[in-house]
Amino acid sequence: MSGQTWEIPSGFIPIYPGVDYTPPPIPSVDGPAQHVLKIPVAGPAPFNTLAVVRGRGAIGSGLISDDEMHRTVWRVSTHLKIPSYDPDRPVLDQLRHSTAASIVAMSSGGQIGIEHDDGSDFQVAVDEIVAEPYVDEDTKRFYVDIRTANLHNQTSSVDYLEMTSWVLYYDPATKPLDEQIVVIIPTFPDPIDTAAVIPGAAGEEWH
Amino acid sequence: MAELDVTDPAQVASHQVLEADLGIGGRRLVVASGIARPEWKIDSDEVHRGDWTVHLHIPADRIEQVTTHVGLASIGNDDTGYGFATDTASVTVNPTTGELDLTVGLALMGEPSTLNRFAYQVVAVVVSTVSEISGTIRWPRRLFEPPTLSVSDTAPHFTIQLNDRETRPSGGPFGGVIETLTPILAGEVTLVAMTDTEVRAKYRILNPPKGRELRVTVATDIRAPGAGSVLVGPAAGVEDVFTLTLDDPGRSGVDFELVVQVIA
Repeated sequence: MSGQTWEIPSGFIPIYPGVDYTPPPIPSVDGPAQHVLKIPVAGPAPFNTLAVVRGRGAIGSGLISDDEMHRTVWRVSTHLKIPSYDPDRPVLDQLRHSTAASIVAMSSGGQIGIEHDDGSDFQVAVDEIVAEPYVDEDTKRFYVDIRTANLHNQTSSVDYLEMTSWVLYYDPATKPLDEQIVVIIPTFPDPIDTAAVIPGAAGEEWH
Repeated sequence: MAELDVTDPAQVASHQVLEADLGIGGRRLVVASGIARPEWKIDSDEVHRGDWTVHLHIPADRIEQVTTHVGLASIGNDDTGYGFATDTASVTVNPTTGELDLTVGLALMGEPSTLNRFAYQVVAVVVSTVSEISGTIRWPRRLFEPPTLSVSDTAPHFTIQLNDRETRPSGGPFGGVIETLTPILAGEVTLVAMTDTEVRAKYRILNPPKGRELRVTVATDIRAPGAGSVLVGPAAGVEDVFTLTLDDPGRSGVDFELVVQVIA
């Protein structure tokens, strides 16, 4: 985990009655944290960079057990910054993204409630990735909004999602592909010393 | 085996496709993400397994590299032991449509349990070969003689279209079908040539879709002299209705002729 810092996810309460569970670590938005993979691409214009980022967030509204569906939109942060982002232009003119999110962790406690019967049930859902992402106009950080839902009746659980987002955007720091010339410099190995002792070879003691 | 289609929001939510030109030999990096909705419910204390295929509608004649992630997105249970799993995932090129299909193996147990949704992300490097429909449009030189052999002098007089073709029974006493054509691609004139008696315009329609019944249509604004009218139709022996496949991705010789029908 060197080079990464972690923080407790938003909405996390350290003690969940009845649920002995620690949530998955979530990369800090302020530290060096999770790396962003950036790939130079030739297009489509005006884009020249493809980035891969991951983020984590909570699902639903926590440990409420009232047999009601609780729908929540979570804004999942990433470590990608869109340097050319202009808040006065539509965001989808400035980037494209393809994002998937699924349940990464789920832990349930025992049956709870004043009266116990055979009616406990749950639903945990990542329903939709909001097509239009959010970019902070000050930090230029890229976020994805995810619609989630959960329902608990006479039980409760803590649930988290992980998302992977591929983002196509323009980065002035990315060099055009035709400028990224790879020069292969031939190297000449040292002469092989055939008299050298090869470890493990026949005649050599090997420990 | 059940099938889900990304064009139907009731079957797949949040389908997002991102394509990047890798700048090498027509290779494209394709990222397709979404949330499929099998809405699978069972009432059993035994694990049930099944495959779901998601039709992604991404053209790709060949997959060079692919990696796929799938995961649970919406699950539920009512007061029993349960099991939920996305066990397997694979991506193939559908041999009929030439498009990517994602097949996911799911497992479910509970009395009852529901596996309403699963998330997917397909990352692939694909190669699409250029295919085309081509042919020649011919007409008598006396009917219309372009001032030059430049394509720009002839092309504006023709509307060349590739259409999706659907038919349904007409329901009348004599049988027959009613044809519905939906334009999907436009063709272009690429070359014009003349003989002493005839003008020929070559045309092409690039990258036609596979696995669908298609019909090429040509319309013209060329008028017949006098009281006649100009009709455009396929040349004798030419089939202008066909279905393309991965093994047969293009069609040549789809020729048309302009004929003058004289009104008596």
